Amino acid sequence: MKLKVFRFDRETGDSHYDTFEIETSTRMTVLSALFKIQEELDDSLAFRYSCRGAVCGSCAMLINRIPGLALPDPDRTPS
Amino acid sequence: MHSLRDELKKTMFEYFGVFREGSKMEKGLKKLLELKAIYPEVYINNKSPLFNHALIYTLELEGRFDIAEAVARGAIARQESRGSHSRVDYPERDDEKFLYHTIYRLKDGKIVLESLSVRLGKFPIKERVY
Repeated sequence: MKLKVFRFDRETGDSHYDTFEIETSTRMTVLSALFKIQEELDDSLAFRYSCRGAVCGSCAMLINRIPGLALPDPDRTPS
Repeated sequence: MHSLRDELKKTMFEYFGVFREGSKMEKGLKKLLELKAIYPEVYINNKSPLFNHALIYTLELEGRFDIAEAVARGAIARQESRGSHSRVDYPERDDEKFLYHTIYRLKDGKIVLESLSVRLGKFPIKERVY
């Protein structure tokens, strides 16, 4: 799967999109995709997260232009 | 870094998981110390002072090794089963020998296992049965 990620560097003010291609797996979340990019492709990728469980809301981001968590909504997905 | 972390995870799950056994844990501790010895060689390319996850994970990994070693040595020393510490070689709880909290301390860079007696309240000491 290809992910186009908005990058911003606070120091230089540089902003652009980067495209990463990763292997997906079943029940993978956007957050785990970002971790995978960090691990395998670019460790400078930065994003906010905390609980990993759709509780705290720290990983809220725009996904396909829609604001949401980088995690599945536990109320809407069968667990 | 990530591969070392994954190795640590795997080792802890395999040797210090749900059911523990003395000789297996000794093997696990050996493996764990081997991995810990590799840690100083971890190198990070990312030099950014801002939002540097690679650095955070690496520093966290150092702590994980200390915690893992504490768990490992504590579990090996506790030759009984109590709560979620379940040893197949010692399936019974042993209040005579092990009614204490395990304290793990670094003294002058050396690891020491200490114990702290349990403050007993109004509940009598007895085996839990479900």
